[in-house]
Amino acid sequence: MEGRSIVFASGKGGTGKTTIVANLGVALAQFGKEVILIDADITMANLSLILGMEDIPITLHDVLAGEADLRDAIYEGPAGVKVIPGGLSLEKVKKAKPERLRELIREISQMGDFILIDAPAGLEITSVTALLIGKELIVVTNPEISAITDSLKTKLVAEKLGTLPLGAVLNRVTNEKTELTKEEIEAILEVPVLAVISEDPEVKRASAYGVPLVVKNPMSPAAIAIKQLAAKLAGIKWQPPEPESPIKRVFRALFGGRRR
Amino acid sequence: MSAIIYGIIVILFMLNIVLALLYLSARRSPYYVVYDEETKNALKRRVLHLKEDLESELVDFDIVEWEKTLEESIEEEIRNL
Repeated sequence: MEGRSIVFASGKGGTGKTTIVANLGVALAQFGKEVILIDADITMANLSLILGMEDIPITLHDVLAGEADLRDAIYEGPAGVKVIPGGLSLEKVKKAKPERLRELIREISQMGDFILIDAPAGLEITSVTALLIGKELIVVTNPEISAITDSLKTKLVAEKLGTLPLGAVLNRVTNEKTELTKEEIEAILEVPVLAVISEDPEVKRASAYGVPLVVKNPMSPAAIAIKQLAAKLAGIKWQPPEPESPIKRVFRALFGGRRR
Repeated sequence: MSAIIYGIIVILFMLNIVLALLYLSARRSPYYVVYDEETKNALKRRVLHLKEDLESELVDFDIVEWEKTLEESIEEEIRNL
């Protein structure tokens, strides 16, 4: 059976697409789903960095250059998520042919329940190719004007290309009074906001170690929001863990073993 | 009178213990600043390792050839439209 291929795009860079794709993939795998993550950002591949996989020998770039078999570029990540990372080498970027992505995705879509595609920023050829290879689109945006405008452009182009917009993920929310609200953003983008993820220092910390946030700190607010999104996509009922009482937290910090 | 002084000493002593416990728990919390230093060092190590790899690769990197490949790729895309 063919899996759901969902492309994560934003138009603007730095909205948190790669972080969302990596963590959502791991969260879906934690729910028992077969998940494949693919880094379609050919020139600035970062998925491998978020997942701590920068030292892998064969990458998507080798496959796109016709120098390796697709199966040799699939690696198993946390919770059994399968990852097809891009290479960091400039030499490999030079040789890769992004137009081959379309053929590859047909093969990949048979391999899992969910195929999550991390699209590059902008609307260049590689970004449009990424929009074309996904059947559904999730826009990752921030509550600020440039991110929303670029997300709107991306959504409109995706619709023209025949990709179905599922909704938006509102990332890096600080709840300041100047920020647009979820309802306002839904009205502008004309898609539902599937998740609201607050700005969380744990995201940066987890990426520094190359460990997904949902593994490194599953109790952090962003990790919980991502798990809720994963449950929604998988059609699973999931209750977020109850927050620990301050007294219990003090005791756990004192006697609860090593710091994560 | 001395009973009041003893009482105050006991209360202050207990208060010190509570403060010490709170201090220790804060130090062990992932939000404590030492943790950030560890994180920063881990990040720096990874970034420097990547920088070394890229710099060594750039020694033999042929930018003219890359430009040519990009032009060919764009021409191919236009033909396919």
